Amino acid sequence: MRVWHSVAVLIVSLLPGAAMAATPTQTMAESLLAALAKTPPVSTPFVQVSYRGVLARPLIVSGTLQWLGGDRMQRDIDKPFNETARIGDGELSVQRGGGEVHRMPLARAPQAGAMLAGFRALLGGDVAALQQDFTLTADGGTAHWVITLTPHTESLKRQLASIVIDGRDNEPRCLTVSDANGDSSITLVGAMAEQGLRSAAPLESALAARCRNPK
Amino acid sequence: MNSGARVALYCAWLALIVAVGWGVARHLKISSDLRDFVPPARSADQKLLLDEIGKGPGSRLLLLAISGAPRARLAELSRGLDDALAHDPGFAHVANGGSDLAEVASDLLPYRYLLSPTLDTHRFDAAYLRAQLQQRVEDLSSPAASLLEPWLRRDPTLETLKLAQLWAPQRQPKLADGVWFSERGEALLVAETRAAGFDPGAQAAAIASLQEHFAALPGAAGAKLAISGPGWFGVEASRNTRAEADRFGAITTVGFVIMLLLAYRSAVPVLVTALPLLSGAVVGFALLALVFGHAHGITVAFGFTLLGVAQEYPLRVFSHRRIGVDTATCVRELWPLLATAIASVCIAYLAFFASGVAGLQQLAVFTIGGLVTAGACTRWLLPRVVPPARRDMAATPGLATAWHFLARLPRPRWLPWLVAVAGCAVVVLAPGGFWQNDLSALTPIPTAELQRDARLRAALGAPDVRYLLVPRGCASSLRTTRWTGSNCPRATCPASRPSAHASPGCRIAAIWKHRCNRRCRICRSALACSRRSSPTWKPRARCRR
Repeated sequence: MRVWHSVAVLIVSLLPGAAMAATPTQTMAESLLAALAKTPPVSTPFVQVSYRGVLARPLIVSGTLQWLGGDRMQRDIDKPFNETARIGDGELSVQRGGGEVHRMPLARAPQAGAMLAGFRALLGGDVAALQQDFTLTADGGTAHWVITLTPHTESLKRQLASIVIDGRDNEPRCLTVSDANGDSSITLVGAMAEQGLRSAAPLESALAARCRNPK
Repeated sequence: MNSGARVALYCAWLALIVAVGWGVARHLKISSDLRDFVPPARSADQKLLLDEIGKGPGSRLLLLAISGAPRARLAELSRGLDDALAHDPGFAHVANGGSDLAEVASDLLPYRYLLSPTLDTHRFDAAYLRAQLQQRVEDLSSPAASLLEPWLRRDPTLETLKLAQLWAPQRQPKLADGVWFSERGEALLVAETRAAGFDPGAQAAAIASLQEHFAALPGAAGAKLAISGPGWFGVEASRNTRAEADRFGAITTVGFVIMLLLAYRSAVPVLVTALPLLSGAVVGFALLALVFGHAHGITVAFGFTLLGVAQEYPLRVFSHRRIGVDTATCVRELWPLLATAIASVCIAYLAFFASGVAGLQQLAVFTIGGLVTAGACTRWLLPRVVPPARRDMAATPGLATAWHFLARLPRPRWLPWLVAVAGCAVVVLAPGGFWQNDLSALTPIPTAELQRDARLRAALGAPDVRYLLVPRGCASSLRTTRWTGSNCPRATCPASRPSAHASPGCRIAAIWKHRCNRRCRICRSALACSRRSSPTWKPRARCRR
């Protein structure tokens, strides 16, 4: 599921600026996303806070996300440990702290493959490809807008409840990924990530409120 | 005896046959397990081989390929079939590539530390566990977290994952839409039946239920389900054989009746000759029910063929009757000849009984019982139901002419020599090998199906059912035994580590041996402390502390 998070975070972080439609409809989401085609490579800082059932405290990692073009992306974690995760050539590889590189075929995580396809379609401005797997809805105005991606294929639904993107003006701010098992993570990108967190263990509700806060 | 009494006796005889036959049919079970025709196991190895042939997972595996629809639909069908079979009591396991590790490895979970090499190099102490847990926290932020998370509570050091990586076949089918696909774009599944692989009856039931499940899936109408594996071949073979046997049986029956009608120009022989044969058959079945309680399908089919000899007994009687001579007298004169024939055939079939093979013993009981009954019926019952002869068979038109023609044929002395020389020439000069050693030439399965089986087997990395790997010593009992000092199989474990270049089969064998060897070491080191504390085995790390 982290692949989802990473890819989705990238999508959001690379949104150049949301061209807002007047009405909160699916058409609004489509027009929002259709205007987002982007030329690689691009990168953004990120802070990811994960709330997981097996952990007593939220897990916080931060670093840089990059889209290298095509199906290649990279996530570098700087804190609290060093890890580089790459997706490319149909493979997912993870290297932690200069140690052994763990590889697995992306085919083992079919949802990641579908997401990657959606991601490419998105950055290529192809909303129709994204709609194969997701139902898109949008809401809000320039001060705060929300795009919600709800999976409608069975294999995705089994893992993923929704992906919610919060943004303001031309800038995406937060990405909230809710897993089907109740776990969730909130990733701050762009300026929000640069501001950092205000607490060592932020409450999920507080962080969500900050994402929605138009100021 | 007047004709009324004869008809009454005929009807009574027929009724008795029907009554006994009905009673036997209710009690006799017809089995289809081919192991009835294999000699009984004498050594432990033979027993294992027989068990594995019949009940081993290799022989119970069915390989499934779904084709003929777009990929997304095939994937949906694969998932649907996987789900349906998982709830079918006829199937032990089913896999389509979409199942997660938890499903596959839950059986092995209790033995993860025995099987994995981790404790060869690490102490399982607080420091190690702390370091592992810290790594798991970091894992939870990695892109592979969703694969690991279900395991964290039960297996924090991820031994099951290490085992899965260790045992993964080198070649696996590619995954698309979350399920296995072949290079030709068929969705692949593997299903393991509960029924023994070489029990065509039970396999046929499992396959029928599988096909029903598939047909009931939404969108299955256009798609094609191909099945392969030992069970499928068994079912196919018995279906082909039965269809052929039915066809030939029908042809020969019609031919036989026509021949009787032509030869005797009367319906009486047709109506009467069947009775001794049928009597023999029902008595044979009754004996099987009494002695064995069940009969194999092959015994029944082959037994009927052997029992067909009994058809000859009443025909002999009909052929020797003369006008004015009582049928009973005629039978009495013939009886020494008939009795000798019956006795000699019975002695020959006794050899089956001495074979020790259950299926052949059934055959002997059925045939001998049947022949003796048919002979006795011919001797004592038949004369009372046939009307007196109204025609001498010797007076059949053309018979005398034919006999004289045959008698006048030249019989040159050189003919046998010519036949012998020609026979030898055929043996020496015949093209191709004299002996056919290829057992697969006996199979009624079409070559195309065999090739498809090999292709699916290679695509799925499924085991080759021709080879059976038997790791000796602790490996087989590893799953069930509580290890103590006394049952530690130290002498049986050769020291060897798996080589990366070995074939998959050898690799697994070597891994087992390696584990086995390690268990022996743990056993021995545990022995000292187990004497002090408890008689059962405890982890080595704990012993050392």
